Amino acid sequence: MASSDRVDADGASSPADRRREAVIDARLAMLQARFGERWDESQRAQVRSNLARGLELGDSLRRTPLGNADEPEIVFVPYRGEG
Amino acid sequence: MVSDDLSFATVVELGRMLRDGRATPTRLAEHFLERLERVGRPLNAVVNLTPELAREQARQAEAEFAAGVDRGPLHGVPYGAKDLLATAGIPTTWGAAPYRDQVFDRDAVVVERLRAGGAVLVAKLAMVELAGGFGYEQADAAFTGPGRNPWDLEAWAGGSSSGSGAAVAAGAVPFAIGSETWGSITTPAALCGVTGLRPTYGRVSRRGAMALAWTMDKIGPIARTAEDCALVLAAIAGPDPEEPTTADRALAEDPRRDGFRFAMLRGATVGAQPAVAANFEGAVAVLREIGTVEEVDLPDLPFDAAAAVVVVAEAAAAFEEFIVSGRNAGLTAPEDRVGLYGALALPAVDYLRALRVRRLGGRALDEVLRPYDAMAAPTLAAVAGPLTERFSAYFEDNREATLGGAGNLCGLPAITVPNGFGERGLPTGLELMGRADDEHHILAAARAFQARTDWHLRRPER
Repeated sequence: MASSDRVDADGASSPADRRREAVIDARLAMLQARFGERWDESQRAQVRSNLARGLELGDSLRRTPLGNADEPEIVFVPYRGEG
Repeated sequence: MVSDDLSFATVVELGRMLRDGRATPTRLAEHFLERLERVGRPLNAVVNLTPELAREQARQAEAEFAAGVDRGPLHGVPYGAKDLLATAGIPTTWGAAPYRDQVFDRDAVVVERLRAGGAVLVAKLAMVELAGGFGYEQADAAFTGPGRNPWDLEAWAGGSSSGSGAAVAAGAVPFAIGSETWGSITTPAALCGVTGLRPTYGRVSRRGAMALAWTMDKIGPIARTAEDCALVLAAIAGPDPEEPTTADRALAEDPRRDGFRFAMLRGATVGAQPAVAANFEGAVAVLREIGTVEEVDLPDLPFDAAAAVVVVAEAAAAFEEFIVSGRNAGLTAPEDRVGLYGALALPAVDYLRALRVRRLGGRALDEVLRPYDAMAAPTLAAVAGPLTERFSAYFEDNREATLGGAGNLCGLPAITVPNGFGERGLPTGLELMGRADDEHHILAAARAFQARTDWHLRRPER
């Protein structure tokens, strides 16, 4: 663990945690701007929890090293109709 | 045949009865319509019965039999369709209150093919709202109410094809059509003690079925036996020129009764309920009677994370207008009402990364599976939970390695067959997963397993 990622002596969150929370808050703010008036406090908390889960999933995927040549499983075929 | 035997007859048995005169399509239709009303509704398995259509299709089947026309093994056999399959002129609700009055003017391809095969549609069956894609966390997630398990009415039937699983298990339909994005055929089939087949992605046309995740949705049968599942698959599978993800890959045959090569997922029972583990060990002993069994590991790749990202990204896109409009506030499960907002903020690179992992994972998993006919694991770590308990609480102590994430991400076929009973007298399931396009191998293995066991013959007491 990098020294910058160690938990502070008083048990406060690490820089990595704080970065993570900042990303979640930024995504929540974007969604809040669009939909926030629909949510009560518990719904807002659930959306935040789902965002945290989404970030966790993305981080999990990023633990698999991928190179430039690792293409997604997509095959795009330009359409051409009859005639 | 007494009424109860009729209710629990297989498609094969009903086919014999129809051809030797012991039953007529009309009698079967009326029997199962009554059964759905009396037994299916209390299970919250039914959205709408289709009596007019059923009687018309049954009369047509009778006339055709009389004229010497035989459309095949499903001719005259009643079935139920998960209510995400469009049926012309009949509501297709997707299990969701905001869509309860939705009516399409054209049948889904699967419904068309079953009609062409002479099957008789008796009901649209209940499902978890929007196929569970909004993140439901407990059983009460459909406007039809929580799906009840025929083996214990206070237990969940599983989802999202809850009505399909429960109706077959309760003898309310001989077979049903379900769908699976991640677990939605295998879970209700296993929890309700019946047989469910998830075909290879692209084997069955999705046209006319609600889309949850375009690259992960599969449509397949739930029935009493692997043989019945094979017959239904043969009727619904095949290329669809209007659905480009379907391919002209013929269904192969595998007549073997033994000589199978099985892989067994290492660590599959760690964290499973004791009876699930014991039943799996018992099932493996049967697999050793019909072949060889070797322990293997899944490739070390984030299959579950990739599958989760693909599902939420595609579901959020498929339902973007629905979410933005605010109509999602009308969903039944409170968590579903806000379920996919977060996915609207998912970075595109994360979705694409999941697809890149899919490519790597599909090839790595195929390499692992190549020497084998099927990989075996418990379908689920636990029996059905109580209706009132949240999934996170119930499954907290039961998290074993499963094939669901890897199999669904990579579009692989799987079949679940009943392999015993566990806590609270509820069924457990054995899953056999195959390589892409290996439905014939897993069906043959499942048939051979069911020739040596009788779990699939058990009936709940209703």
